[in-house]
Amino acid sequence: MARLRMLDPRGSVNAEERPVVRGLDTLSGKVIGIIDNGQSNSTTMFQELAKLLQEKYRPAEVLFKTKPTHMQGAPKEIIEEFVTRCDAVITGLGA
Amino acid sequence: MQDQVLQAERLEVADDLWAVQAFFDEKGWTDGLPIIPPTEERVDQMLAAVKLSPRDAIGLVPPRWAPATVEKIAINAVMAGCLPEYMPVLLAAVEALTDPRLNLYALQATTGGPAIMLIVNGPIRRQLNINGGSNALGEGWRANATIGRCIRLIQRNIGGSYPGTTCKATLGWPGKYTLCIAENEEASPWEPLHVERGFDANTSTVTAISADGTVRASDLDSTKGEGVLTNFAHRMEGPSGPEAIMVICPEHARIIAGDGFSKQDVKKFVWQRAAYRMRDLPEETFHQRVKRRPDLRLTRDSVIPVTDNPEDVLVVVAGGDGSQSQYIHVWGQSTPEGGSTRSVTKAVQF
Repeated sequence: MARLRMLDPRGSVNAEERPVVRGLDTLSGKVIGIIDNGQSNSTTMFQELAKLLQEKYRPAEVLFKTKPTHMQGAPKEIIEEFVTRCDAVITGLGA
Repeated sequence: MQDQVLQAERLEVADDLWAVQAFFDEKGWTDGLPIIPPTEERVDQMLAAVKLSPRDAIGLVPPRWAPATVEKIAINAVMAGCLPEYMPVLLAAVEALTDPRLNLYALQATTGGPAIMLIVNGPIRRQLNINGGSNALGEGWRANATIGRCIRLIQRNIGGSYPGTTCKATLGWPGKYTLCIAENEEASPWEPLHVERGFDANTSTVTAISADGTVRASDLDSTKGEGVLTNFAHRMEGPSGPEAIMVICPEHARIIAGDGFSKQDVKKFVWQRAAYRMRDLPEETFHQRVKRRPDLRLTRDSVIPVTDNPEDVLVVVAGGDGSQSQYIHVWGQSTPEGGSTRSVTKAVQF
């Protein structure tokens, strides 16, 4: 059967190859950041996670921040503070 | 248009419509409905309708943040069933879509599953036969159906919004397939949307706004503007949004304007009446509202209007004969920062 030639409709990005950062060997004594998106279920889940981290892994600190709104990205101040202070950051969506 | 100018990867499939559909379906590149195969010849015809280079990018489409080049827009336009003359409207629509004020990143990802609604104003409505009359929000007009559909395909194929993974819509709604209307300017007693927003009446524009779903604001009894608007406001009660859309049918518009209401009066009237009483909310919902809007210092006695300001209510006249208007809720919420999303109007110019 004859072949039909068409064009790919997908957007393309020039992805830059970057090495994946090695994971931490231990959480003990580290500063762990948590970004909560502010939705009820997100806050509940991340508060529980923060408690578990404190109890089980004895980090130096769990830095817990809630975004002003789940409908926008985290404000620059939160991101800058986390970049400066945290050894690892946990974030995600809670709906 | 020369072959080598086009950048998109070439795909080869058996020259059979069912095979083509199966291929696009399997790749996840359609909305589930059959597409027109985007051959180079058809894409070239789309590109011939605009003066821009195929490589020109109109904006970046999240969550992939891929550039919406004129070429990629044209490919998706062919697939959606658009005619080449729709291209200038599509380019303006993509410009609005990718404007940061619309916050498309959130609209693409949210569990809320909103559609992008397009409202077309100005002379191009007639040139392209974009329906703003009878059944404007329904089926039957190629321009409405395929322009709206193309925007959804762009969200999916250029932006990479795939239900279940990058698009977390819990349910979505049928407006996500396509949602494009013209304002019925000829039947409106008020200035059209684009004029209200500072454009010349002879300029054609596209307004993009997030839309959650519609509620029919039927009123066959009222003969007074106050009656029509009071009943309309009741349909708008509930969780407030950053904006709200009143699609007012010509008969209702005539009654309302006949009683001396300007467009601004309409907004103010419904804004004062379409409210959300904090007293009625269950405990958890009440506390969440208080947390989200510390600036409003909400108490159980507070009443939250449908939007933060009367100007945030969009009044659009559309539809044919009958006494059936519709209210369209806008996704998200009003926030101290000005709302989760804002509608954007762009001139058709290419």
